[in-house]
This record gives sequence, structure tokens and C-alpha cells, in this order.
Amino acid sequence: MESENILQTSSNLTSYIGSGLAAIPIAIILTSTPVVNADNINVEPLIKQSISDAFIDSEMILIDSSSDSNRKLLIETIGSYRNLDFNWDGYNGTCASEEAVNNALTFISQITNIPDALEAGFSGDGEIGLFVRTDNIFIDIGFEGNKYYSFYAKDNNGNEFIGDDYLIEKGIDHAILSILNALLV
Amino acid sequence: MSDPYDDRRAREGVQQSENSPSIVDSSENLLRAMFTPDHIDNKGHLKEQAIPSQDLSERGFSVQREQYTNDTLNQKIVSGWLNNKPEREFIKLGKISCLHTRNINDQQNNQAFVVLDDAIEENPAHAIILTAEKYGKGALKKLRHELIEAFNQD
Repeated sequence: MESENILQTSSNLTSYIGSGLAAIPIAIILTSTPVVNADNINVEPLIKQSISDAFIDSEMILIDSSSDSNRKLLIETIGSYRNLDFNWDGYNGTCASEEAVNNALTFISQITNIPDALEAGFSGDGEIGLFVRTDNIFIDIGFEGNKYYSFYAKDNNGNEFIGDDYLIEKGIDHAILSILNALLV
Repeated sequence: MSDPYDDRRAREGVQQSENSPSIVDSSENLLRAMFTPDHIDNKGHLKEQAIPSQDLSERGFSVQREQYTNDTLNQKIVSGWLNNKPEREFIKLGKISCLHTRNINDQQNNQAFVVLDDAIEENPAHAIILTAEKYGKGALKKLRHELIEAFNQD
């Protein structure tokens, strides 16, 4: 069961939380033992391409993605975080690790169509972020360089989704994909 | 080893630094310098990444107490940032009320952030915003979003 199914069968629930698996309603977490199994994991990458092959060299991605201007911009922006000087933020901020950059790029490679609203950001603590902020939709996804991503998102119906430490190689959480797709309509 | 999250809410009632004029009152406003492109998104809003998660949970997110800071202190902070990265452009001193910050609640309806005085000799107006307890990464992003929205509104 993926998060969309949970949404459909629990329409009165507005918050979802997860830990390394597909998003789970917060209300269920708080009131009962969460039931999760391997079927909850969204393992189907949207791009039928080996992630490891794709990210041996990020320049290759840049060339392959030249038709998608926002993808190119995101890749360039995220790559630039590697080159920041120590204390770039005035608070002893570090540059992005190679791992964090590759993790974020791997995540992006799994999105077939990049919405224009998807932007990148970087924190002085080394976390790379992808975010969307529109009138009705919000997404904040963080990459620390440990092969996982964590997120908070809100769809255009006000449903909230929270996830901790989702393995990037397992694919993008269904709720995140649904919200990203809604931005393309 | 003591738990670094112990008693954070209680610490709000106790002056933390001898250089501080007082504990931070909820009626105060808090300021934070904002720069582009680091802190501002394509629509002119403060980016989430302008507030590092680690600062909120561990080190404390630095702010200036409006009533105790002055133009000289503010300018010194802004100049320091601009020197670190010449392509930066100072946008404004973002403002958030201490009350608004303290009124953000977590999923259990408890106060999510504390505001503590954290003055140093050369900057008596310095304060920090910290999470009141340890939160999961996603939950912290939700709380950070509320903090960012407050900065964008106040």
C-alpha cells in the first residue's frame, strides 16, 4: 500500500509520517503500532537508467539533460555548493560534500519532468535542499550526504507528509512524486 | 553525560549570559540579516535552507534582539557576510516576533522553539532560537517551515 492509498482510505487524516518507508499517516503512528512491510517501499525508479552509471560523472548528466533547462539549472546550482569557501555563510558554514551533491543529483535523476517551481538551496550545516513553495503546495527535501533523504511536504489539499531517512536508491516517495506531478498540470 | 535537550524550555526563564541585558521577553522582536541569492528564492521568499536544521537543534540559530541592537552592530554583521561572498546582496533585516516563535507548537501541541539570550561582550543583543526538544528530521523541517513563514509574514 502506498501513501496515496492511505490518503484515499483515510480521508479525514491530514498528516503523514514515515521513517525510511513510504509515508504513513501520523495519526496511525500515534494511536497504534505502524504496520509497514516491503510492499510499502516505492522501489520503481521513474527513469529506467542505472543511477550509479548516471552519476559516475555529473558532467554527463549535464549534457544528457540539456533539453531540460530547470534540470540543468538545478544540477549546476547543486554542483556549485561544492565550491563554497569555509565560513561562506558567516557562521562557519562548510561546502557541500561530494556525497551530498551526488545524493541530490541521484534524486533529481529519478524525476522525469522537473517542475519549474522546484528550486535548490544549501545550508551552512552541509545539507542540500530541494524545495517548492507555491500558494498551495510546499516541499522541503534534505540531503545530508548519507544516501538518505528526509522531507516535509504539503499537497494542494492541505495533506501533510513527513519522512525521515528514506533510502534514495529505493526511489522517490509516492507522495512526493504526486505533489511534483501536480505542479506540472 | 547530560542530555543537551534537557530543560530547554525552563532555560528561557533564566538569563544565560552575564553580558545579556535580560532574558528574552516575548514582546521583543528578533532580527536576522537576509541575503540573496543564499537566502531568497525565486519569488522573493526566505528559503528554508536559510535556517540550518543543525543550528535549530544544536548550536542555536543566531538572531539580534531588536531593542538592544543598533545600526553599528547590524552593519558589522552585514559587512561580515558580504565580505565572505562578494556576489551577495543584502536584502533586509528579516523580523520575527519572539511571541510568534514561542507560539509555534509541535505535533504534541508543545512549544517547539525556545528563544534564549546569548550575548557576547561585543554583541549584547545576540540571542538564539533552539528547538525545545529533539525532533525527527522531517518533523523539524515542518517546524522550520512554520518559522520561515513567520519570518516571511512578520
